[in-house]
Amino acid sequence: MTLIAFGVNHNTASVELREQFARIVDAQSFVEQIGLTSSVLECVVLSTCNRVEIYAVVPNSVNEDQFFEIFGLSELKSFIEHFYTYTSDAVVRHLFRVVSSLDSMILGENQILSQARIAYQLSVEREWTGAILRRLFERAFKLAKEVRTHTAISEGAVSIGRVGVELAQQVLGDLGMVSALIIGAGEHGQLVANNFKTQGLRNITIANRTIERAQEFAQQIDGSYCALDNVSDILEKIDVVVSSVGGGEIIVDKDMVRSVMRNRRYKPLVFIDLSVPRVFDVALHELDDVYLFDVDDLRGLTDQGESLRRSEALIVEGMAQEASQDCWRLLHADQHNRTIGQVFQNASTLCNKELERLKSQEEFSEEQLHVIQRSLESLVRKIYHHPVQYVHGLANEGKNNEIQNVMNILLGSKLPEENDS
Amino acid sequence: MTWLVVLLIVAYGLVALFERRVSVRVPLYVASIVHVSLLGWLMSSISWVDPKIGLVGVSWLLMAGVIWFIETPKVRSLVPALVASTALMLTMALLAPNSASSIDDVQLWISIHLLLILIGYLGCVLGGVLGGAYVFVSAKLKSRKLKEIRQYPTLTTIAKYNFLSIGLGTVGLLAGVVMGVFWALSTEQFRFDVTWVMSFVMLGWYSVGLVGHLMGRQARWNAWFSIIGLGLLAVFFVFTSLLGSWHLGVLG
Repeated sequence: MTLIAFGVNHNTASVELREQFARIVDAQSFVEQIGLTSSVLECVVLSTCNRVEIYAVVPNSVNEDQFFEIFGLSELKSFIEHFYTYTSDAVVRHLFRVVSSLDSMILGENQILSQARIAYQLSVEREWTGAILRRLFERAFKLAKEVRTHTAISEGAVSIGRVGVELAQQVLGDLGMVSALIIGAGEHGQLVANNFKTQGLRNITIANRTIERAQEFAQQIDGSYCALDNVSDILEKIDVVVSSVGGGEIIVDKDMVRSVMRNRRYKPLVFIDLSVPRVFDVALHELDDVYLFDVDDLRGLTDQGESLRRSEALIVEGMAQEASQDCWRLLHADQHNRTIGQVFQNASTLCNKELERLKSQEEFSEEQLHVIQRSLESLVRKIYHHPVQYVHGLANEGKNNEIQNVMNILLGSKLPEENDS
Repeated sequence: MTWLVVLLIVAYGLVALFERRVSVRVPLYVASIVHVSLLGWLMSSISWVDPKIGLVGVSWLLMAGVIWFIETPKVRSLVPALVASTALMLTMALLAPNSASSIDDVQLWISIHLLLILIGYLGCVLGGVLGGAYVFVSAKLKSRKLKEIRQYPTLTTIAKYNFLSIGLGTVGLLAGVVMGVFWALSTEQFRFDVTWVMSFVMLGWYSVGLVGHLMGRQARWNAWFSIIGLGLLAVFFVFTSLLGSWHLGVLG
């Protein structure tokens, strides 16, 4: 089996490509479509505003081109230079860097951990995960917790929501007299709302697909709420609109805002689109006194307190490297234990067959058969004791190819390329 | 009369300071009634072309604007500037000599006139610079070059000071022109020259800008108006300097 990961992030692809990829893999039925079949054994899809990644376990080793075919994403093959692909221990290293926020747009930000947890939980609930991805993600989350507890990488880190609020301030100045509309009542929406409140903004309206959720959230922050379909009705009285909702459908378009601007006498209106795929029409930015920003635009404002976090990042890199090596060894040990179990299972099957043969001859009593069975089991353990010890020794030395050869001999047949994971 | 004007100035100063409080309404209305009474008394006792009447009259018109705007949220930001301008013009009225004054008084009069006009032009220049800053920061935001955006003031702050500068410039020009016109009329020295034309055109331009703002035009309108205004001012200055004007005919 091979552990693989591939995807795009804010460093490799524009928001346009990320949203195109996200649209495909965000679809609820994505994994059902490709199926956890013989080609994909386990799968976790991590889709955030800055990255869209697939972590999977596949039966055979694959090359870069095959990644797209396995997941039925041939239409994205022309963008191959924007995708990164990892296999085996590189996957572990990459995931550990991601959850430690070393790979984030804002170094040290905390949202990625909860986003990864949600993605993993979704896969567990849908039974897309198995022993390998479970071990990988649980260990990654443990590392992320250690990193945030024992280092200062998150100190002074601003969330993308905070950056959005700062940008709104850059246009609108004092937020005390400003009205905000937050589309989406998820984690990002709550972060943005809390940041707005901290900056003195009092008039916040929440719009959400599920009106009950909008109402609940609005009550928490002492704001008002409306249905997503009614956004155009209240836009005239709003100064800043922040979206953090998924789905990919355009919620606010140019024509809608053009008439709104006329009615609000061209008072500046700020749109901050934290959704990927984006939900505000990109043409909004063409309108006078309308300022539209997406997650990529916010990159320029993410350097607050970065020097401290950069120095901490070196420590975190070391922790991630060490933890990924440990985890990779554990994954291998799991793999070897499973193979050794298979060896014993084969032997046990042979013993049972032999017992059945003796039983059919009716020459032995039940007690005698029981003694023979225990003797056979003891014999098997003794025969395999030294080979198993030898395999464990090789595993400790990291000699995976030699382990594979020994296992092939013990199983009496060649295993399907198990040298990767 | 002097004490009455001083009282009015103090009252208007307090209104300018506490204009957001509802309790300033009563002193404002009382001061306005006293103001119009003062104007009536002046008109009955001295020549109507006297600069004092001009200043008291124009300042009362500004107060009428304040009374109108103070109840209108969208243009309420004008109130402090207008009240402050009224207080300034009343102070000028207090200092202004009448038409039959000595040569020393006339020198003072000319100095005040020049000072007001200079304040007006300074406001216009500042407004032009701030208008440029608004357009620059707005263009930075539009081009989404946010790397250095923190080092610039916010758009709203620039817009606010841009508007205040234009307001100050317009009021300074208005006060200076009113003083000049009334004094010139009272001494029968009024005649058109390039400087008159320049001042009237600039006053007209900025008045249109302010009225546009009151009609609902926002910060971008003010910014472009003040930039073009600065350009016009520069052209007029060059033109006037080349012609050697500056009212030299009148003053000489």
